[in-house]
Amino acid sequence: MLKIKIADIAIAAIEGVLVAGLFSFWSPCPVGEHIMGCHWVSNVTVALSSAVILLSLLKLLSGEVLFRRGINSAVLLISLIQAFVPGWLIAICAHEHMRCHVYSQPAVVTVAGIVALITIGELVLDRKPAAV
Amino acid sequence: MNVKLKLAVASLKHNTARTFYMTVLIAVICFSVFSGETVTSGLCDGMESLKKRLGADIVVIPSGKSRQQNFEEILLGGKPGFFYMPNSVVTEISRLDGAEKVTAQFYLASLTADCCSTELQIMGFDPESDFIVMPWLSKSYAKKLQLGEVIAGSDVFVPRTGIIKIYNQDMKVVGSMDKTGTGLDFTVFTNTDTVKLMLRSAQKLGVSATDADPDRVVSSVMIKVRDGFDKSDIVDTINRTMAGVQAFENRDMVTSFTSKLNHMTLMIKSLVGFICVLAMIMVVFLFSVMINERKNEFGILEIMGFTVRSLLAVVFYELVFICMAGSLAGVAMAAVWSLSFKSFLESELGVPFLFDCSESFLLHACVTAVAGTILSLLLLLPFVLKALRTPTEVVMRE
Repeated sequence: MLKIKIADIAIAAIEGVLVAGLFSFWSPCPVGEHIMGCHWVSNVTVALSSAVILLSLLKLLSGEVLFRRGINSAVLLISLIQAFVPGWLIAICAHEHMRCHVYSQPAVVTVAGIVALITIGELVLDRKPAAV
Repeated sequence: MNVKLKLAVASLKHNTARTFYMTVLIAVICFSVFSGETVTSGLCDGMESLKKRLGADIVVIPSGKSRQQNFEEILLGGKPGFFYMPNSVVTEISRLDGAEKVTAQFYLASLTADCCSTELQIMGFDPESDFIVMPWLSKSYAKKLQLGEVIAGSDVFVPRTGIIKIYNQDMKVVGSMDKTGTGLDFTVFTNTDTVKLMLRSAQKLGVSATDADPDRVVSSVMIKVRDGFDKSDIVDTINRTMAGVQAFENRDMVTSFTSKLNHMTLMIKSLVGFICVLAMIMVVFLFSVMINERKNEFGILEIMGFTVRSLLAVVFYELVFICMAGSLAGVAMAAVWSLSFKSFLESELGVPFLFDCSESFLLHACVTAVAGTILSLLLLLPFVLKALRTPTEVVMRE
């Protein structure tokens, strides 16, 4: 159980770093006269990350396996969607060497990938029978 | 489904933790190998591309402490810049013994225009004397470039209209270059007359950093040395006799980058090797513990009528599933990682980097996945054979 809780805290922390990063060191291209796609990518990612953080913290409250599995499935789905937001679901800048291509997209894909992996691990390992 | 396969699948399903950890470890090995391989081959391809594009033996640029660095940044880093020297240098160099071909180039840096544009490097060449740019530019555009026509590097953002506005001048993009992995990808190529037109326009707009007469200056002179002449002698002659300029061999520039590249490649390979060895030790340790724990299970199955051969088949099927899943997952993750970090690596490494995301990338991925599966099987099968060789009576007595 301790391992699982550590995993939940880790997920919340990683997503927290992503949210902080998107507002600072991994921020997309600055908003000028035009608002570019990467700005909306950043907003959507922050929203999805916030949802994952909230779900991870919620998971800490309950030890019930079915409850945890439900939340894990949701987190897995959200993180998979999150990985495909920049460049796939929402187009980012055309120039390959803009900030959004160089920093924001890899950061989002990496964080979403790590969260998905941790969640798959939890789903596979957390299979104790539900308390009757 | 035959019994052995059924038994293998049931065993994998029953021992989820064991299956998961083994798969993750094999995925880690394949991930490190494939991503390391992608980065090192990108570095090597970038260097090869640079060597191909540096057609001159000697480069002459204005003298100054940071000029050579500026030149390298323009050519390799894609950092826009410019410098000028009197065009009389070209005539003086042409008179030198040993200078087979001599051509001048003209550099100009644009300003950032709108949201999707960055500063551009503009490189002007003389179509009459050029022997550097034309050979590989002709693949993109075979005709002669007219005034106001440009060829864009692969990473230059070209609007749908095909017109780039530089210093209030509309430039028609007539072709795009193949990717080189160097600063040339951010460069716009055109003839000298067009660059001079842009410089004049910049001077008129009051945004030019130089007030030099465009007709009287050049940025660099490229020299192809005649066979039988020593390049370093010519470099010495230019540096000694011509004031205000400095000459150096292109080879020196490539050598400095090659040593930097070798260090980087060595570091990446060492890191990949370390991760692989560590993961392999863990896989072997985990598997040997697991197989020893299963000796009883094998003994019972032997009593029930399973032969050593059929037990071997069961474990082999299990291993094939684990190794295949691990290898595929590792390679897929490495492919996604490499593709999303492509721009980061190209921008931040500071050396030429040419990422190949064509069929060869897919082929590489498939080969790594297959090799990962086969090698993992070869690594683990000896432990299975050893465990199955133990006589049933001994196992049951234990």
